[in-house]
Amino acid sequence: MALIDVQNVTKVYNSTAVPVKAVSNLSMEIGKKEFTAIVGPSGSGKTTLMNMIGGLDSVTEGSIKIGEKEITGLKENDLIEYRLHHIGFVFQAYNLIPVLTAVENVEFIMVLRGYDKAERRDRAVELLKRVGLEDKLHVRPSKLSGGQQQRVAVARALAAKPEFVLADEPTANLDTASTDSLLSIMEELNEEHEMTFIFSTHDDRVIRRARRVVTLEDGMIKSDDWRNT
Amino acid sequence: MYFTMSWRNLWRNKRRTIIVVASVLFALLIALFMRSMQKGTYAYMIDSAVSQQTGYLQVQDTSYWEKRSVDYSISLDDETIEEIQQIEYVGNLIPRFETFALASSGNQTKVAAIMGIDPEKEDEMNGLSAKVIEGKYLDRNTEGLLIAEGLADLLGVTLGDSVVIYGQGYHGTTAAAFLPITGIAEFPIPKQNNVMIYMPLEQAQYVFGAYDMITGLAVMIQNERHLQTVQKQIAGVLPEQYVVRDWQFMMPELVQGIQTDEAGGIIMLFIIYGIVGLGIFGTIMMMTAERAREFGILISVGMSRWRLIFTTAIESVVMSMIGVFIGFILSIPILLYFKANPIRIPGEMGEMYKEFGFEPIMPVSLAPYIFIEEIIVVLCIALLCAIYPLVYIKNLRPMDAVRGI
Ligand SMILES: Nc1ncnc2c1ncn2[C@@H]1O[C@H](COP(=O)(O)OP(=O)(O)OP(=O)(O)O)[C@@H](O)[C@H]1O
Ligand SMILES: [Mg+2]
Repeated sequence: MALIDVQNVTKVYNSTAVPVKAVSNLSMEIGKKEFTAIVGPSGSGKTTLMNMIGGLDSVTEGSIKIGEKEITGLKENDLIEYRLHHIGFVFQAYNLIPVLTAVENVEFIMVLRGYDKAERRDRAVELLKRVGLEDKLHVRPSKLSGGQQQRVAVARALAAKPEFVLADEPTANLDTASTDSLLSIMEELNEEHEMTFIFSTHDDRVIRRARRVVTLEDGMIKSDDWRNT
Repeated sequence: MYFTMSWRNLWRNKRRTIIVVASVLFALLIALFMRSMQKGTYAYMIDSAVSQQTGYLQVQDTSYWEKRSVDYSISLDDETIEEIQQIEYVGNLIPRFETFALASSGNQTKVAAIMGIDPEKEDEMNGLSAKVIEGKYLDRNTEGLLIAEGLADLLGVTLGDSVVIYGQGYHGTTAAAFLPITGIAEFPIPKQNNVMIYMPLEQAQYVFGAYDMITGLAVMIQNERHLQTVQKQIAGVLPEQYVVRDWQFMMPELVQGIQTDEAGGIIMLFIIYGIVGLGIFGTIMMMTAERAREFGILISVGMSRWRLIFTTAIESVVMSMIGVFIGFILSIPILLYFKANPIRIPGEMGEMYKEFGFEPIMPVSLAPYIFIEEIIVVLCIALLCAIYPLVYIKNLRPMDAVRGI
């Protein structure tokens, strides 16, 4: 059974003078342990699709199921709970809470989840080690490079053991070396923890490393390719 | 961890925090300073007026205040006076026999305010003896009078001369006397200086044919806060046709003057509150706008709005509290200093005060209610401003915040 099941989803933004159809009758399934890139030109609907899957934005029509659960009708508070318990998020930049250190940022999500103190500290340290930041535990985000910040964000996304990680252009602000290392980490975590990663990108180097590439155009799927790596 | 976040957020943009704290602090300081000065000055004015003139309360005949005639004199037996004296917070009781009469010497005749007094008690109440510039102050047995310096001038008399007093006595009798001047007193207020004649109570009663009668019994109170209770209690022991008037009734101009002045002060205060409030509000608004994305991310990753509101609210509360606390601490030495060294009112204003018989000073009041009131108001303003981020967070749409930077 699919982990994420998007069925006939349409998203129309009415906030502007002319309604914008950002996603148009789109259907797709994403299974467990996928490492999937959503690509397409600017304005093609990548962010909109990911926000809807992440329960950050509502759908205009259609249904999105995560596992058994239909999330399209959920109320705001239930959605927040839902995100906290099931989804890890990595955003394009400025993911982290500036006043918390790297390790506190990772712990934070576990505080929200109600983990006890010792457990969350151990897990945060372990995850930061895993993303290669064992020497930056007590450094605040402003003292970290963009790549390091994104690695902390990945560690945070994984901290609460989500079902999948949504990353909207996680490498957009990174140089080549940082992009490579972030992707390697994501790949490794995907292997080790069977963690599903869904990320959007413009970047060919990133696209090349995805195992499945879903290409959007005008809010519709233009192609859906599986690769053997 | 929430507290850690709030606390660190306070230090994140030190300048902002300092602006908010300082605004709260100064608002409180200025408000406290203005209010305690105002309240202190009013208390001082009331105190002076009351002791110079009517007393806090005065027992009179029901019609005396309106008619101002010795026909409405009263007679209180010792028992009633003792009962009044026994009431809690009642201080001195000062009997007076007040009326108007003609005073003349040679071919000069003037209207004089005659005041029959208990010399000792009167002196205790308003320091009358200190105003004597020539001759002696009165005592119980003085057979003579203490005349105001201005009136003496008008009549062309000096110490040792005698003055004819001529007027209406009790119930239609004629009052007439020929009394020597045993003392001359100078009053700062012309209204007093040109009319007053004091004599011992018994002598006045004799001259006006009102044996054992007084026109009013002034009552001093140990603590002004208990005025109303005392007033009620006194009313309870009085015979039916007698009343007990409070100073507000007897000096309505003073009450009105204070009210007008206070209204002006409060308007000033509100302007200050408004300015400071806008300052705090603006700062908090900028702070919120800057953190919109952060708030959006926090909500996106699963922090509930209420939790976020709570941590943000802590920041505002802490900032306001620090401001109020420092302001309060700072205000104490400042106010204490001005209590010990009251500001003197210079120039014409000061002269005016003197004319009304007040020292031209602005004493401060350290009454706790002023502190409580101002602290509450300032805290409310600060916390009202803090509602902004809360509403902002309540309505924040996370996808807008995380989309694009
Ligand atoms: N809040 C909104 N209100 C109105 N229109 C919107 C809103 N958000 C997005 N859109 C429109 O929806 C369409 C899809 O936008 P979306 O952000 O999903 O594209 P994208 O593929 O993520 O683009 P990019 O690569 O530039 O991030 C665009 O035409 C965009 O202008
Ligand atoms: Mg996008």
